[in-house]
Amino acid sequence: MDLGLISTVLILLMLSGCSSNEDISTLIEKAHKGDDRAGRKLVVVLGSADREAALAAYRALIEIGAGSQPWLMTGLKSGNAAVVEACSAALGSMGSKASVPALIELLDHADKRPYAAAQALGEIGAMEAVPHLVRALSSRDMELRKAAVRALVKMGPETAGPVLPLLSRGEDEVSQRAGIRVIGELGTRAGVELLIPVTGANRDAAAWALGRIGDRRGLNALLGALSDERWPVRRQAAQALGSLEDPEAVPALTAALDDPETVVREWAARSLEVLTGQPVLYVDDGGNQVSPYNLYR
Amino acid sequence: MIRWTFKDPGVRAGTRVLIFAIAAALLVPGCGSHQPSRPATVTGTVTVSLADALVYIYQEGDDIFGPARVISEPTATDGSFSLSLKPGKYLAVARKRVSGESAGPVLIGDYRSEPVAFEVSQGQEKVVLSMTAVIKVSNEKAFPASAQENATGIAGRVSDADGNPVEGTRVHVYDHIQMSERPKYVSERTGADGKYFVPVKRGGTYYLSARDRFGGPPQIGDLFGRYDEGTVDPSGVVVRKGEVTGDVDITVHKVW
Repeated sequence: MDLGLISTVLILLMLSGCSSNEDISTLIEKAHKGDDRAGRKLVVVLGSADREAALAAYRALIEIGAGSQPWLMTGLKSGNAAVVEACSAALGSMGSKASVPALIELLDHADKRPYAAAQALGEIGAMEAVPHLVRALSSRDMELRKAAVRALVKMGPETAGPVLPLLSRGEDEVSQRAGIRVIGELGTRAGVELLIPVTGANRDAAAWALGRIGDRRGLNALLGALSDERWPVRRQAAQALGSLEDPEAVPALTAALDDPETVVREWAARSLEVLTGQPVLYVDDGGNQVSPYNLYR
Repeated sequence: MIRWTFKDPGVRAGTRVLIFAIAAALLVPGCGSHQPSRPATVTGTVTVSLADALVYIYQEGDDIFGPARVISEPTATDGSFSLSLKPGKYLAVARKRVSGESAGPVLIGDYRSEPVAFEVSQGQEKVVLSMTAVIKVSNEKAFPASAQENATGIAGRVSDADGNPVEGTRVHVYDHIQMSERPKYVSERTGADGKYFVPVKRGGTYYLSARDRFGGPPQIGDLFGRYDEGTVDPSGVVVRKGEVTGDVDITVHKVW
């Protein structure tokens, strides 16, 4: 007997309490008719190791729509992290406003895959969750931080206000970096003056954000960053100066074509091409004059 | 015409081995006329043991773990098959999956050959090649430290939402930010420790994803993740010539 068959049998036994041979398709059929017991069992199947069974249950719960929300919200309280994750995702894709308080609560449960709750809150566009998502930007859980960044960005420019103070928190480089990502993605011009003085390990992220925002006030900071001792900072500055599209950067970028780091020379050539409209060559690892390849297709 | 023949040498100690002897002879037209792009017909025979095998044709430089340019029809009970190929440089790989599927990873118990390079020249009609297809017996992967010495590449670990290493995923490496076309490089499938190493030919800026299935956009139920720093676009990974950019860790999540 193969493992797939064994796991299917185990799931069916678990679902049926060994008293019936109710299979997934029967559960789905009953759930579609509003059978509460079948719906709750489908939620349990979401955490099954049987991939196909879990997917069938997920698709059915999504198809049922609003009628499945009470079952899915019950699933948010499950002790099985996989069930919680799937329920969060389903409720997020449904835009379930009713689930917002429970999803916010999950942000503090490291063992319940809180990134999924953050992602769902972004999908729902739950503005009441913004303070909680901002707090999640300081989490030690990298996946949660990343999901919180994306959720805040998805929710739009209104989320920038509570994020801006993070940019000044140089003593906490983790949350500062996450904040920089949000402000850069949102293109928040109010962030420029806070990004310019960023020091330490986040100088490359600050250069990236200044490029994303594209505000001329960032020009001098980026020109200075082209001479940074760390090549990742110089690389980001070379890229960002292309995004700024300010011809004043041409001399500095031309000088950067002599940077000892290949990738800095490459990005300087790309940006110069943007600024001048002319193809620009750089010296590659092999000492050959070449064109940068096109990153955008 | 290119003629392919598969022969079965029998069983070798410890491992069942099937030898594909793909026979083809090169025939160049003597009249000197040129018909660019005229396809050559590829026919052949496969041993009875390898009925229903497929021959995957890739162009030189293709990722052989990605979609093939041409896939033969399943070999018949007498092992015969037919392919048409235009002039060009190719790689041929024979695979026979127990599942009967034509795509997806080659699993333990499936047959697979090493890729064989060949070229179809203008006017060429026949080629002779040979391939050995062995049954895959293990997912064990070994990345000796020496493999990364003086290498240019990217290394890291693939883990799941709970931080556990994920076995059986591949890391796809793209040189463009949309990550929409064929990956430039693909790693071996990760082992139990989730570690991967992808050598690249040149330094540059690369974009990475990890997934457990091939082909098309990720589907519901797939494990998928990309390398990013919480940005909407994927974050570029810079590789310097002669160095391995390490700790490029990717978390995969189930796609819902």
